[in-house]
Amino acid sequence: MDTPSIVLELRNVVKSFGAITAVNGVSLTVVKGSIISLLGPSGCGKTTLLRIIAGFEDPDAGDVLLGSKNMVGMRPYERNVGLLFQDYALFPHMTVQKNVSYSLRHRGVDDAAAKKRTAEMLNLVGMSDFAGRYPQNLSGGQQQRVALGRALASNPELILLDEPLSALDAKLRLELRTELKRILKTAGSTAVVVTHDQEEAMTLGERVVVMEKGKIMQVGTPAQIYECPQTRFVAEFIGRSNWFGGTLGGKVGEHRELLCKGFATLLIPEPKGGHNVYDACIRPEFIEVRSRGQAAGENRGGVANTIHGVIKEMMYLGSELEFIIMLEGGQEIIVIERNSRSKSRQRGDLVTLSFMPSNLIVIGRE
Amino acid sequence: MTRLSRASARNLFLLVPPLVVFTFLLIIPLGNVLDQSFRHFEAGGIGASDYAPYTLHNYAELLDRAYFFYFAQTFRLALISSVISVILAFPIAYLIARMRSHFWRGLASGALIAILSVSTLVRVYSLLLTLGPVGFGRPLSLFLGLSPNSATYTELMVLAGLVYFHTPVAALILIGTIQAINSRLVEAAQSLGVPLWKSHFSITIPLSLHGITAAFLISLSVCVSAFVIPLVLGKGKVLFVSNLIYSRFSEVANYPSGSAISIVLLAIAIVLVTVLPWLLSYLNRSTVAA
Amino acid sequence: MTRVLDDTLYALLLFVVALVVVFLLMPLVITIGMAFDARDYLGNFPPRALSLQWFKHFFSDEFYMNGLTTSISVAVASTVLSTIIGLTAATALAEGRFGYKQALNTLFLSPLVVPSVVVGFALLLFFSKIGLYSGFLPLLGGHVIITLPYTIRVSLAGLVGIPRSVKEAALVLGANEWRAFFTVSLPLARTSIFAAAVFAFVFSMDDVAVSLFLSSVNTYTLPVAMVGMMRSHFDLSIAAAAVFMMVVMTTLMLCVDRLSGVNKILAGD
Repeated sequence: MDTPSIVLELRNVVKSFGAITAVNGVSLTVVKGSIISLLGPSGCGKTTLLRIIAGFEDPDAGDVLLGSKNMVGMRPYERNVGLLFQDYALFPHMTVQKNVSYSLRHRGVDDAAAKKRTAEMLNLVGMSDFAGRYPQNLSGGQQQRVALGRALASNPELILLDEPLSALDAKLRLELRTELKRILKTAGSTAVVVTHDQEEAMTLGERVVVMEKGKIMQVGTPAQIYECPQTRFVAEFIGRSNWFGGTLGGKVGEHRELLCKGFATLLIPEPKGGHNVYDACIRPEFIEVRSRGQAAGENRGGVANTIHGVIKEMMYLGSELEFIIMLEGGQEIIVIERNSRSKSRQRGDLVTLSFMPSNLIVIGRE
Repeated sequence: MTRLSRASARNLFLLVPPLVVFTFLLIIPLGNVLDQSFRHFEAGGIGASDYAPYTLHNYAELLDRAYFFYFAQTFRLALISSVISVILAFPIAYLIARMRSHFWRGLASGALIAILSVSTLVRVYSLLLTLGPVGFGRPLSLFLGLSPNSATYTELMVLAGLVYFHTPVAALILIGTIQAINSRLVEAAQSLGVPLWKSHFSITIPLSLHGITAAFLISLSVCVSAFVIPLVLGKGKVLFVSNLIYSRFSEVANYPSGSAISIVLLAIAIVLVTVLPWLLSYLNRSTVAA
Repeated sequence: MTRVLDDTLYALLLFVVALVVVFLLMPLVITIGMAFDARDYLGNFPPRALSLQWFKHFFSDEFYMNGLTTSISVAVASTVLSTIIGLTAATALAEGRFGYKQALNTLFLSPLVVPSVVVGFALLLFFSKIGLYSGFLPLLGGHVIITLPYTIRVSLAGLVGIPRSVKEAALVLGANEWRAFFTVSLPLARTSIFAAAVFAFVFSMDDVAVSLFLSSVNTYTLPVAMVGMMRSHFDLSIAAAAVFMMVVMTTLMLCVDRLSGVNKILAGD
């Protein structure tokens, strides 16, 4: 089996704007045919990184290698990188056909070949029937498909997508999520998706790169990022979390004790790092809710952490129920339960919560 | 009276002063000119007498070669200067429109407006100084191989005056046009492998066509009606149609002829400002978004 | 290499822009320079020594000063008339709900299309027909009609810019239409109205074509005087007059720009 080729490699890229360091030593490799997501809050540097890869900015330091050629200093039109803009940036004075064939026409591809390739692209993105229309007469989702077709037409080595789903409404977003992935995979493209939306990042990317303040916090599959975040930032940025902080106590079986002052003693898995103080996080969906006094469910293989509380708020979300529970000691946590319609709960109910130590994410406090 | 009719009565009442002013200071005088243009002129008189017979002579006269020369000269210089103004104004407008700092953009536009607000006469006079013997007149004309008093050099001075006047106006119009174009479009073109200069030709310019034609037509119609610029810079050697009207009045008192020329000039101005743009937008109705 | 082409074209562009900017500013610099020239003959630019002699000439010359006083009085009078009449027209256009609004708009803006020579010529003919041969009134009439389109347009922009909800709020709170207009609309539009007045003043002071036709031996404006001097007595007092006008006009326009942003008024509708 041949080693997969690397399409994009960033080595210690640094970029500052005046006093602000937007990108602070980012290194990354992207393998051919894969889709990775660059995820982070606004200001984390992901957009700057995107523009550096595309060639609209040059880094102050570091290398940008596209297929082992150093791209630093090369103009955007000298790189073979496609870009899907956030607002699609379709040329309003050209038809869909002319938009998609633009790069081919200006690169000297002969008419017949250009026409054929354009038709292929339109077919791929499902817009063949709209070839003669103008962008203003297309819906958001349709415009996005055309923009994608346009970017893919000249077969770029790498395609960059800037917040591709952010401009669409919720329903359309779900629909286009799968479409986008299908199109990219069918075309065999290597793609980097830049987004601040974690759902977008996790559904589109095979690997997720979490960024904050110009640095990469963690790289991994969506499951790795969600289930094994390495920093508090990553844990909080992806999904919802409930945190308990405390000092490390003694061993209990294969677990350790976490002494949370004024609250309770929790059992956590053996932590790494050798710190004294740890923060333990439990995702809302891993907490089981029982009415106070109700018998516990069968033992799921191990000792569970049990705490008591009162339902402060309840939100009915259809497929789920979301609770804000006030614990003894004053802390509030979020719990999500599948709506099984069998239990009826209300504000003010006394409840017992339990969660398994193995579901806890433990991160040492520096 | 209902509220609505009270309101419209009030509005009608408000319209009386302006309508009176316009009728007496514009419509009737222009009507009078129209009438005069068809009257017979007796040489030696002042204007046509009230009982002069109607004739088409004043208009027929204009088809004469001598007059045609003035119209042609006016048009020629107006056309050339409008083209030059727009070509010079476009890069300025582009640079200003794409300035990232709000402050500098405001300052630059403010500078353009400040230049415009200096009175026309002052600006024309300053060009007279600059291109005349006191300024660069001598070296410039020598460089071009012309005598500073030649008709060609004078024509160039008038041309320079027209361009001088219209470039800031065109720039201001074009700034608005260019700002309306999404700046990401040129980036998109570049990411598709098209170099910057080509992207501008295929994207920026086609999308600014609307503004470019507007600036061009406005410049053209104002240039055709230009009076002060040819009066001062033309030094009597270059005459525009409006100067012709003035000479009809001041030298010969041939008001009917002056009226005929005025009506023709007015018609040309109306065509340039109303008919032509309408025609162009009718022809372009399929494409180009706002 | 395309990038070389890109770079050269960009450099060329910057060069052209720089040239144009110099072209636009240089004549003004030269005029200002020459106005302070100490020589009493027309020497080459730049002047070797500076003096205020030409300004003294300008301010002491009866011919110029007559023109200046006439210019200012005509400008002030026509500004007042033009602003008021313009405001009434603008109010009617802004508030009114009638079909022929477009037609009225075109009518009110039409003097802009009519070449100023034609306006001057037409007014002269008309005034002489009704017996008004010379004096202040014909000049005033001419200046009012050429400044009206500007005052109407600018006042209209200001009035239209007031959100409907504000005017309706005044009505709901008990004011009748007149009161609402005077206590709400007018104050809110006051920067536009002020801008309109300044525009009218500047255009009136600047006018040459119409004034040439409507001036007489005794009543003439400063620009007319200057044109006369340019043809007969070409000395640098004209430059002094020019600098004087430059200062007055630019100050006024900058005032307006500070207050309301001329860019918006000229470019936006």
